[in-house]
Amino acid sequence: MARRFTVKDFFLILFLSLLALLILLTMYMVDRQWLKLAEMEQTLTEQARDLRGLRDLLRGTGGGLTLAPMGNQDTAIIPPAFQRAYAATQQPDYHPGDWFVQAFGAGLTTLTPLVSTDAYAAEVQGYILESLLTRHPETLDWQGLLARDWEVSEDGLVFRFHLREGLTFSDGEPLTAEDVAFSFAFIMNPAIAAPRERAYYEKIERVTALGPYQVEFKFKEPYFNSLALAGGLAILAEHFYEPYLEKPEKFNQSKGLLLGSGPYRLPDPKGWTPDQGLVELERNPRYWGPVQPSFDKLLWKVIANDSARLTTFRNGDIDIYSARPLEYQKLREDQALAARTQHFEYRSPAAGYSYIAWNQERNGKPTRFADRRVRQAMTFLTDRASMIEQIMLGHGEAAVSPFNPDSPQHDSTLTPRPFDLAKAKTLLAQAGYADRDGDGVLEDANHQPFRFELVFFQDADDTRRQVLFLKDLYARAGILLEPKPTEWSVMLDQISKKNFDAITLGWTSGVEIDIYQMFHSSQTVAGGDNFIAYQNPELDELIEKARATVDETERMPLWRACERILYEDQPYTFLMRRKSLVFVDQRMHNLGITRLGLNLGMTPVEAYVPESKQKYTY
Amino acid sequence: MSRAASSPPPPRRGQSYMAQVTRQVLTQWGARLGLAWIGLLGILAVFAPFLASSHPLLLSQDGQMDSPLLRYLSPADVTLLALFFTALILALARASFRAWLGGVGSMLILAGVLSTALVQPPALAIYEQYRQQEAAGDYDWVLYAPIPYSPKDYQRDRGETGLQPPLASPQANHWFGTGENGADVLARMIHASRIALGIGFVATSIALLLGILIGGLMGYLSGVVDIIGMRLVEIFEAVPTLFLLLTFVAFFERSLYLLMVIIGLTSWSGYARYVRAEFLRLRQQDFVQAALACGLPLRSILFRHMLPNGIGPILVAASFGVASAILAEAVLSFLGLGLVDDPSWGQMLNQAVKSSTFNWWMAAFPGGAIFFTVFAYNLIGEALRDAIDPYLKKS
Repeated sequence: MARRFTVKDFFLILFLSLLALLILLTMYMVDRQWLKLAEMEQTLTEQARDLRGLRDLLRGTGGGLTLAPMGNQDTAIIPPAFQRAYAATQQPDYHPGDWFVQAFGAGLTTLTPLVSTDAYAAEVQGYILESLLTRHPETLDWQGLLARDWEVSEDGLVFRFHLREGLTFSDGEPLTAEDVAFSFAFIMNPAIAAPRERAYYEKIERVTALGPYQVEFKFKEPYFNSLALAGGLAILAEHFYEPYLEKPEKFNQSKGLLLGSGPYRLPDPKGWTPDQGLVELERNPRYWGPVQPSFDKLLWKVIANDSARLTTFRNGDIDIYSARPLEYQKLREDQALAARTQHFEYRSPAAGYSYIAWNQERNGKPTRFADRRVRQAMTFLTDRASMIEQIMLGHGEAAVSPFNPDSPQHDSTLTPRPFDLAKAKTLLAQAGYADRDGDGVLEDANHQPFRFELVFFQDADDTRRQVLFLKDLYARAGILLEPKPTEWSVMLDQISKKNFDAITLGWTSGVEIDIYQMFHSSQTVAGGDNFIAYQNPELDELIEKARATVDETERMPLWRACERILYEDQPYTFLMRRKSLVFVDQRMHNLGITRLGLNLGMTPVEAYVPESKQKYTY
Repeated sequence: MSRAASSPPPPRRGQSYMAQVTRQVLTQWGARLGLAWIGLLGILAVFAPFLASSHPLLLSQDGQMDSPLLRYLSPADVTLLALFFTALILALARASFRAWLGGVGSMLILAGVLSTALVQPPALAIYEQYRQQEAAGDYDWVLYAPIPYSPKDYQRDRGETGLQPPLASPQANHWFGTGENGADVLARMIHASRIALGIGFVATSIALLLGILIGGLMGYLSGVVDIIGMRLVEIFEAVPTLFLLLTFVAFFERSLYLLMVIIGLTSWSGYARYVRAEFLRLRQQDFVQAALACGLPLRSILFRHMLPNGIGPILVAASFGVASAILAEAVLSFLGLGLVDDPSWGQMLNQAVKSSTFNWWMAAFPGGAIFFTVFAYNLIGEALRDAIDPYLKKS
């Protein structure tokens, strides 16, 4: 009797095939474990070899990194870029070790260089990627980091850098001139999502490796900042990033492809993902530099909530906390905190300035802010002194122009326009504004009331308070400001479409900055940073001239002329440069404020923790 | 129930049933307290501009009398006042339910239209001007509201930094302290009671209207309509209201009306379920069959004959719904996604943990107000349920 195929049989077969599939998957998994183990074993042996080599090297040179006192001869070997870090190691209580723990206020999306856009990722990359040159924090002079020295051609168009010997990436591969040339080629590859960097590096015609230790940058035209441009190029490892040229999409969407020659490295240069909620860097065991960094580990936790971050700092779980002005005042009075921490108040040139940008053209039509007198009146109405006093509690200063007041770019005879209601009213009357229907709001010649929307980022508390402050100030002149808190992505969209009346934002800046991208009329194109359609042919000419002038003494007067035009035109109302208010755990030693800001975040690492205070020991 | 089928008794029976329920509810002290609190809030909301305003009630300048407060009354203020006085007159005249509905409804439309057309307060308010002019001696005499601060008066002229505990600021007349920007907390709380009550009532009314309509049709028609309707209900129940609100707030304007509509549009499904269940039960009853046999139109059967018999449980659910709508707005404001500078309890509560210190007065007062309001609605809901549920009554 033939058996019939029943439902029961069906389930039996299903069960058996499932079992078979599971067994297969298990086999695959075990196989992968073996592979992983082999990989780990290889890394271990590699490291052991490196360590042996290093020890031999140390013994060979006799001394090296021990604490034995060194003569002048040895300090001469230390390159100038490492002098400050070396001086730190010579302190009597210096001891390597311990961790440096910090917190980020927002989650990171990616750590991959070029793809990342935020300051947080840049901070992490600063410990991993290195460039040819670095600025001295006090003199602001350029010093060789990866480059031993460099020469410039007569016409200022060709820069030739000589690399140090024995440079390696953190995986042990040597760093050569080929990697420098590759880094440039990689950025310029249109398939790589780095449009902003490409816009800067477009000035360079080509980068060629003349030998293993020599590389040449050729510029298309003279550019004042060419040394910074060439020397600041972050060097990417060719052997690591080159494969991604074939699959650029994978690179553009990657989360943590980060490998460099710096003092720290990611434990897994390909494996970091944002969902870990933290970034952990370990000491680069193969760091080429003559001075090894002091901390064993750098750790960033993501703590989005302000008060949670402060509590974590109070508990001593993070080592540094940037306070808001109101907090700063209160925290300084806090005895328990004062005993445990040190505080710093400084204005870092990189912190930049905040501003209100007046859009001059919307939907192809000029707006009311296209009139210079209106913009000047708005600046007269913006009472920056009391804004800083009441909202920043005095921890800031009014901004005059995009240029840093300490830099030679700034003309010290220009001072911020004071609050002057009468002058503002006169200017507005000249521009044709008057209260025509007696409701207290100014109207223009077409009987349109003077009301505008001010777009600002919704999650910034201090900005919201500033906007409400401005609303009350402008009301005194009969101008109606409507606050418009906006989500970040929506804001970016509005900027790119130029679809707003006015917007308040900030630009980061540096020691000497280029204003081409914000104020040159060519940058009014879609996606350009001149998103307010500001055009002034006179300024265009001056900017171009200043950019093409390599000689500093000739260039600075040109920048100052630019500044005077901006001061008259007020395309932005420059608001303020805020001070950084930072609390740091008492463990950290050798901290100080330099002309580039606090030296805690700098490479080569200068801060350290004395042995008695070390907290995280293995 | 079968006697209800004859035509004259239903209205009176309904009336007396209503009165019965009302009496039953009012015998409970919890409900009395709840109603008293809501009533107090209602009065605060209606008279907010007269209780807390920087604009003087009355002033005399060079022998001329002026009332800036009246000039600055907004259409919403005027409509609320008109509604309040209509309701007062109706209550004194012991009007019938129908007169109430008609009177308040027509007044709402009339006052709303007229006030938007006629009342035009100045678009700009410079709050400090009165204080400055008073200090300069421009006025002969001036009479302020009991709390001489508007909710958006940040007292820029006094250079206050804000977040001062009660009675600690230099002027020492901020009874509940000051908020983040230096505005008087008590003034803001009084004006915020409008948002709290408004959002609760409007959002719940929208939800109730939709729920009764859809649920009623589902229950009465049953069959295919019921199946489709239930799927619709399930779809709407799967929408997470808070996340929808967050998304809307992020991409559209922050408007109170939008919040009301979204909360209303997403919370009707619960009421629809209740109404459907009630109507499924009622449609088999004799009086409905009789109404059907008389050839009454669907509208009449649904809303005149069936609804009064099934409204009880829905009213209970609605009183809880009001509470949850208030909480939804408070949550949004607490997350910093509420209105920009219009006062709201949730937004004030949010400031309790600002700037590294615990500002107890920002937690205690607005938090207390939210708590008591939600609690009051829950008490009323409890009492209503006790009064309506026949099984509880018997025991």
